[in-house]
Amino acid sequence: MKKTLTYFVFRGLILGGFIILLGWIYQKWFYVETLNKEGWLKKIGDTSFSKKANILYFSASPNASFPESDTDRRSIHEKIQFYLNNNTIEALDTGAIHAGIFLHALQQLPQDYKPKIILMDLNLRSFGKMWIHSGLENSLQRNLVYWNNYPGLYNRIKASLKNYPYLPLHEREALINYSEKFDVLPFKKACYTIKKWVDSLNFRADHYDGIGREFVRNFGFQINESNEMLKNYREVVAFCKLQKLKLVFLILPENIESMRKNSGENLVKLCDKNIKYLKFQFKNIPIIDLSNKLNSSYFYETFPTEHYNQEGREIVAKCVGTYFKKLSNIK
Amino acid sequence: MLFTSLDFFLFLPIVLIGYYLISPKYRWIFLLVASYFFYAGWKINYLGLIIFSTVVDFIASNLIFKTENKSKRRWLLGASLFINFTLLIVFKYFHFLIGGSHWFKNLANTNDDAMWLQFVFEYGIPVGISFYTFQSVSYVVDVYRKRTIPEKSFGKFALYVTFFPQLVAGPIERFEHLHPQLFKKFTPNWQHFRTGLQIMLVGFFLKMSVADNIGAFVSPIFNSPELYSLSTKWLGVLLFGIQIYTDFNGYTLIAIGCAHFFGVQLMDNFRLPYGSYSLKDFWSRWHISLSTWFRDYVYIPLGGSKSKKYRWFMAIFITFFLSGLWHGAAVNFIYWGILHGLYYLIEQAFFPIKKDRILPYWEKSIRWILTMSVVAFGWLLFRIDRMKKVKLFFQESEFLKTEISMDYLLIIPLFFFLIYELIVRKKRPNNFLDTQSTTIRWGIYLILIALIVMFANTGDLAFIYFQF
Repeated sequence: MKKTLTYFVFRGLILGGFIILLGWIYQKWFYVETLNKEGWLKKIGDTSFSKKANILYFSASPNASFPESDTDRRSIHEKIQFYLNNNTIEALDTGAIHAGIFLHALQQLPQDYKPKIILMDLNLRSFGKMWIHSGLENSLQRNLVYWNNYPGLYNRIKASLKNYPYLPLHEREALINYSEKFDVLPFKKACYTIKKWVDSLNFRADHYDGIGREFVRNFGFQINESNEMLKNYREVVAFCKLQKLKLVFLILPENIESMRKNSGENLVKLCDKNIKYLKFQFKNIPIIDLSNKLNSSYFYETFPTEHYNQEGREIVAKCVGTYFKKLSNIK
Repeated sequence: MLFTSLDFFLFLPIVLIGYYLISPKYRWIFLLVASYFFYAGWKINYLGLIIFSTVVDFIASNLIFKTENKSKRRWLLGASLFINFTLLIVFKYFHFLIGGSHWFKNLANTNDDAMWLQFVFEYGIPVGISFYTFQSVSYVVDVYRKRTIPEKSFGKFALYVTFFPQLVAGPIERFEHLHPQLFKKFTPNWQHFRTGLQIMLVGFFLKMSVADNIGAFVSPIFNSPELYSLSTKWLGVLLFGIQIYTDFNGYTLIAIGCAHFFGVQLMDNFRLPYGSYSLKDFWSRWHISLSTWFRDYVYIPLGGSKSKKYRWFMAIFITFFLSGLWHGAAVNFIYWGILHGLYYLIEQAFFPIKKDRILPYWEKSIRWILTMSVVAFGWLLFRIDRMKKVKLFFQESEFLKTEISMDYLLIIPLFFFLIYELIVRKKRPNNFLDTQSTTIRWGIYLILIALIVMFANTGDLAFIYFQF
């Protein structure tokens, strides 16, 4: 018995010591590269939280996307900076990011850092299943694994064993398909579900093209109590309240003109209804609503996105900057 | 649940503790429940399918055994095969067979009675359906041929079909090999554990550190070959050959190691396949459980090598064609099968290796290069998603070529994999490790652990053979 115990204890100690050594080697020589590749959100977060800014802007890709033809390549937040006198603004943004990640980012704010205002996109499209189950979600969730102070090797093992909300891509697609087929919309007949709506567009030569179908798939949802993103935003609101952070929501412009032209008036009505619902849900939070602010000429992609050219970004920045000027507490 | 997921690392110890604590008499019941749980972890909807298939084969085999009436036996076998292969066709080959037809999709969308079609379209291929169908079919055919006495207990037969370590990607076991091991008196000891852990450790290294890192390198090349230089594309093809080997062999070793914990020795699936001097040799070393299945249940019934030449030609060709089709419901797999079939015939017709002949070094080298060239080209067909892309692998990129970086995540595991292949060769990893001194053995363990925890890929890559 004693011999067996010695056998296992000795080997256990070797193994334990070896793992500690590996952890040290990994942290010293490999972890930075892993963070660059897979944990870039932490890096962006750390840069954003440089403690200099008193306005933190949480956005997705619209903030820093621009067409090749733009001569002014400043992002929205850099343009907002122009309207702020003594205040500084920094942004945390990356593609397909959403309120669930924003919440995690807020929780990672350094203890000694309290920005005066948290400006956050209340992204309408992010409430839809196409965004919730986007192909980038696994990568974002894996990013969160690295966004903590645990040893690097521990984080890496967690990531390689997929110890995060991971779903294979085909299952994500199946969930989107299911939702498109069975989630009921507040319309009759042809627009009763996304599937039926999209199919009906196939037969309407005046409206049908791929863009119309994509608009319906991206904006064809009705926000209700069970919406996952709504829950995430509520948690953001609760967290800001607890931490005494002033939260301002920003509803970015959508390409309503193209939506109306390619998908019909019903989809525009549905978007309006959802925005009203969100405003009601967050009636205690200031909301800058720019949803109808830009026409199609300011969008540089025909696909449904919130990506604007330099003039479009300028208009958004001006509206937000003007709003901040009016706020007495950051003067 | 994936072998390389945290779920499995929690599932396995719980099952083992339960298995060892339960009275030996009831252990198989526990193992059966665990196996169903394991399968339900993929998608609970398909649990019904595997149970249905098991019920059909259980009833058919017992009825075949009971009757001596030849036509009745044949009819029962036919019914069992028909149901098994119908399930396989409906759930695996349906998309392929209907091609681009939207008629079925429209039917599924507009007709409530055709809801099952939506199920087929939306949930994809049930994991492991080809593996458990073939395993089950081999049992019914063996009963028909009076080589096997059927199991009288449904539960025990169900465990043979669903034994979780080999359920979703093999090895495809025969009844007379696996079944007795599942129910024999088994007293677990440290040696079982040690052997199991040794094999699994190598399996995890091959899958997580080698195959997945190569996969991350290779995928962009196959997705957009037009963006890469000719040399990069062919490097991608060669690396895919290593990826598929380490991926599948890694899975098999984890399965074999895991089965050791329950006192079960699964069959080997690979024996240094890239050391083959002929395609015949290659197929005796690659996916052995499948190639022997095709030999016993397709090739030999079609006449085998003892029949007339034209029948033998047909038997070879049909076997390889079906082997290609088994791998997937797509044209590229069929072409892959045909390529292997044709080269096999050419090789046997023009330059066969006579039995017991020792090949000189130069001949070995030429034969090896020829065989590996065919195998590599075969992998191109196997991996490509659209046949149109094949020609892109024979022309330079017209676009600005994408630079590709060979980072340490690829090079370090690849280097250790090559050393592993050269040293271990055809042996099982545990047989090699057991012949080493404690210091060397532990040195190898520690290197493997380091390679797994520091270099395991974190991406979205599942086991390649799960799709089959």
